[in-house]
Amino acid sequence: MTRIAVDIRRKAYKNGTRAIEQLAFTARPGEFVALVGPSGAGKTTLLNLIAGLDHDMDGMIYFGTTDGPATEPKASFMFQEPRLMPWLTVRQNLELVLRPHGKTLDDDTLNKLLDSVGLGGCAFMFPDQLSGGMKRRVALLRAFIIEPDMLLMDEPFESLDQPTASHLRELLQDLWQRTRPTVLFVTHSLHEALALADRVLFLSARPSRVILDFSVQAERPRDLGDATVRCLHDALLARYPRLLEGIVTPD
Amino acid sequence: MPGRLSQPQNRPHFAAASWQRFAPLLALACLWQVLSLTLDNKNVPSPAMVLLTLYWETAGGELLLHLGNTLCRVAAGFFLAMIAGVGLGMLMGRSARWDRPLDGILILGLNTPALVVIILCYVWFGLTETAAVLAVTLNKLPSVAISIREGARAMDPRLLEVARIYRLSRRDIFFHVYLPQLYPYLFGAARNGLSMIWKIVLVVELLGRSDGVGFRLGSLFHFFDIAGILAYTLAFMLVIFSIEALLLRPLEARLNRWRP
Repeated sequence: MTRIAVDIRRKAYKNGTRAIEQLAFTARPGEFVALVGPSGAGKTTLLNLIAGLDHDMDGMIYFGTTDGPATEPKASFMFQEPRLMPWLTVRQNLELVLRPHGKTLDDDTLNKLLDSVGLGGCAFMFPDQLSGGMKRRVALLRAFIIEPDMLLMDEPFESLDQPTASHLRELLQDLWQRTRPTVLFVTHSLHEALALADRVLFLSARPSRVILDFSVQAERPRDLGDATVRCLHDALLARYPRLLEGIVTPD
Repeated sequence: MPGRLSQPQNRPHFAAASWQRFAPLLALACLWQVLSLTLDNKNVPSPAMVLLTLYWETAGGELLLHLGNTLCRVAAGFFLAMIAGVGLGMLMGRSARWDRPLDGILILGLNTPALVVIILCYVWFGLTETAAVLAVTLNKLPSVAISIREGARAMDPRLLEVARIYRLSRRDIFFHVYLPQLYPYLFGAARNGLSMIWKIVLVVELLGRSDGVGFRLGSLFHFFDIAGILAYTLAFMLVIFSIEALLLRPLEARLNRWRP
């Protein structure tokens, strides 16, 4: 479990466009934080900075544990696309990310894991033989199999049909509660954010910063269609009608 | 079947596939036979005549000797050109710092006539085996490097990001992320390479060796023995077809089995 403290003074793209300015927040160890903002608000850029895929910025990103500062935490990243290695089987894809940790995967563990996400019997299939939903499940399993301290998710259930996405969200909550990594979940769906997160951070349009920090007080597990989620959603939008455009104008 | 790889369904049956491959060749041979019978010219020997010559040359042991020598040179030139070309291509595809200075040299090498390289190698290094293989390698290397460079440039940066996130070792990145994306380019380079190299090897042998198919073709040309020339060509074709059918295609099928 890792505490993530982000304090970005300024991040600009190569062409000079200011992507992020004065954006700061802290995620507590094991917390599930959703980041919601209008498209083009630099949400993916923010995740790339936190993941260390991009270092070009003016600011600080700090990781700590409950006991003190931590060096690079064990991180997983779920992208908008599954991004499995197409030439490796499901099993090989999972084994590949375990190798840096010196771990292997025996048949029993593998079959149990695959069964638990509804992929029983798919160990020797190649990604292109699987449906979109199944590929995401493999990607989700890959993200959790290394038991990460920090899990970054960039609209991972985008472009899936509702039942598949809903099933994956259920799976995500289940896996998260078992291993408790600190999660940063980027989405542009307020429903999805409210259904999954402990806390929702709303971002402004570019250059983005946090405009509202909202704690979700509701029982788990929840899903998009739940009455509590719908109530929260409507209440928020009633109070801040232009929230999803990145503007807070309280009454 | 759970736990097993499903086999592709839409491949034609093996016999049917081979028939599709060989029928046009057979038709060509028939056409040629008819043509040679009509023309009745000793410069257009019939396929039957060529086969007979092939048998004589093989039985005499001469063909196998020359063919063997040529194949050794082809193999040496092929592997040297592939190894150096792949290394160079990867380097140039990945790093602009190396690409710019080497690009001019590569274009120079690509467009220098094969004959010039061969003559220079023989003049500078003597009429030796080393000079012969070097000439073959240098002729082939630039085109391998160029096709591999295209492959290295077409790397999917998104998969490399995955590799970085999960902190894969350099070795794992190379073998499981990088190399599989290069396979199509490697096969392209190998196929082109084989066909081009054996053509160059013959010229090399014609100019400065006293054995090998190229040398033998030179003496057959001396006597206008067209049947002999075609018999050697046919022998080499058979070797190339065997390499393609027994080595390249099965290997490619195995490496491409993940494609839907």
